[in-house]
Amino acid sequence: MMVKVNKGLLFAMAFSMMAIFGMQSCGDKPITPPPPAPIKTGVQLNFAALWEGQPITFLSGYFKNTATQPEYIQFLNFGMIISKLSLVKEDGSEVLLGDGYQWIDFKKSRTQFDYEVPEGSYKAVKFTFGLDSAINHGDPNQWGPEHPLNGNLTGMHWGWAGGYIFQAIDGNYKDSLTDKFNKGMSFHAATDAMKREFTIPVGAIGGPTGVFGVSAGKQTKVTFNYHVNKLFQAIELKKGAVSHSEGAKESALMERLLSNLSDFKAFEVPIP
Amino acid sequence: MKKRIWIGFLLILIFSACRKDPNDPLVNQNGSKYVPTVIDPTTIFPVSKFGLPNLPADNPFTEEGIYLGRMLFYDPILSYDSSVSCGSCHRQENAFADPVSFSNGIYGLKTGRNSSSLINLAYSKKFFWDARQTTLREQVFEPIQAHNEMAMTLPLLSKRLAKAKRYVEYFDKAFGTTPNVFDMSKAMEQFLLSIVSQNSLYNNFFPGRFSLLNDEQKRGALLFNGLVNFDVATGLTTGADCFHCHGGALAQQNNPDMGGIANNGLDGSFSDRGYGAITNNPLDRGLFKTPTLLNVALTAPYMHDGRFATLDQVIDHYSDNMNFQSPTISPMLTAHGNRQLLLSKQQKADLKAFLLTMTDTVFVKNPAYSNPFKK
Repeated sequence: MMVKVNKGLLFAMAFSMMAIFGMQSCGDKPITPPPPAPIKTGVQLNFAALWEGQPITFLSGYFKNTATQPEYIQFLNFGMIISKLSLVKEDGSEVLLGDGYQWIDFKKSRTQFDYEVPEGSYKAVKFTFGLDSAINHGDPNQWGPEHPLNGNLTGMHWGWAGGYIFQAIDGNYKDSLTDKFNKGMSFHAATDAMKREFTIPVGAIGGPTGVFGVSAGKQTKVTFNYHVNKLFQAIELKKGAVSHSEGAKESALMERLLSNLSDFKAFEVPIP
Repeated sequence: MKKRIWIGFLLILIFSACRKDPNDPLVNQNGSKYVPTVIDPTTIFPVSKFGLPNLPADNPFTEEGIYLGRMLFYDPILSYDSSVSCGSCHRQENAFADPVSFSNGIYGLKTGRNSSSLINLAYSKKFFWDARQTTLREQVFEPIQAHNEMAMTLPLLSKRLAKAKRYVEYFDKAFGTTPNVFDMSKAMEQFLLSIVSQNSLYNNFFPGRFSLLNDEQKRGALLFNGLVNFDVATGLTTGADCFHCHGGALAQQNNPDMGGIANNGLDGSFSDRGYGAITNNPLDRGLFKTPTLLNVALTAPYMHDGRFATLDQVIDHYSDNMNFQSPTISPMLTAHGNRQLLLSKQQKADLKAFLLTMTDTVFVKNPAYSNPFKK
């Protein structure tokens, strides 16, 4: 049986098909995931704030300062500005990480940083706690909006008083957990006099030192532990819970705190 | 033959539609050719005073975008009964704050909190007293839809904008689109980000050109920027430590954890949980975003609920009436043994004189921020 083909209908169908294909080609192309970024040769540096081996928490719980008459500390804020952050190779040469400046904020979990470094064996992490005087008192507006030294980003610049806060620890404390009200605690390390240099050998505190390797195309994860309980070693908050590093009394208290960092080995870079 | 020509013509039409490149700045989405004038942010922001802010990469400043945002800000058709605009509660002469404790929304309804000043927002990362929004383009939808503010619905707003000839023209110029609430929020974001106050005496002498200040202002500056330290002989403190939360060129701490969101010792219990209502963390109860003190003389009444009518009352609060039993009070305020500052009468006057140096009389008259419908 012959079927009479309607040429007009065929034309309309063919046109519609072409139009549909044509329109489809205008749409978004299928999204294909980008190829994985090549693993850079380098390190991922992870900073951890610990209290007797346990991670510090914020806005919750109290940490018992056992070094003194018991005092119970609650952390609300903990940030640091460091510079000249470097790795020390086994042969003693140094590799600057990025531009060397970093803002670490334990409350915000801004603690993980990726850096490209050459292959090799590394024996230490080196950094300056704080900043050189010229940078410390330089124009804070010179830094881009995301730079660790942008004061508006970090809140770690004193503006009027001049200079950066190298370390800010704010919180509350109680003499007893049954106390109804908190007492305030605020330690801001600042001014040129509070700058400190540190070279932390790779290895557990009290254990043998070692090295870690960085291989081509791989990222080595390195942990940097800050044992905060050692910062508070022999510090009785009831005798002084505030230091903004100015004036004889507050400067002396901050000096004691910062001495604890080296005297009691508050920093540690375990062998990865 | 005629049919073949016709088919060919239609095919060309179909495929030519595919050639529109959305990344081509010369071709807008609706095919128009208008190219908005891009503005370099360094011409808006005083980089030498405040630095360059972190701006949204997907919403570059254009002359048309800012102007569209400015029109929308002052246009009462954004409210349900066309009686209230954003500018009704954020007045330029008051540094974009409102001189009442609680602002008037539509039908005479009141806002729940005091209207905040809208200056230098490009440097902020959190918006509203309770810091619940992180972008201005999201922020603008809240007062527009709040039942006690503008009470508008977005579908109705879309229709209204589409009917207004001025918006058909300016959405096309700014974004190459027909009026829509998405681009509306981006235009308003551009306008709000562009509001900069930088011409106060404070911003001109900061951070230490003392010669510009008179003796009273200088003493006030030292109090404001000095750490709390009680003199043994006089019993007076040599510093009031205002700067930790209101310091720097912006007179505002923008890091929430460094005093940018804080309880400043107003109440022992909280009828308004503030930031705590957002995080649901008991330790955030009674915390509010720390406001800038630039133009503070223009932004009365003060605090999130407008409880203080004058700057004198604010100074009295910080000097004499701090509630140290407030459960979440900032440790910055309690670290000195819960001791009231008890400033002398002279110290209070000095501090007030210094706060008055923060008034920017140029900014409040800047026509770039004024109501474009008032000629």
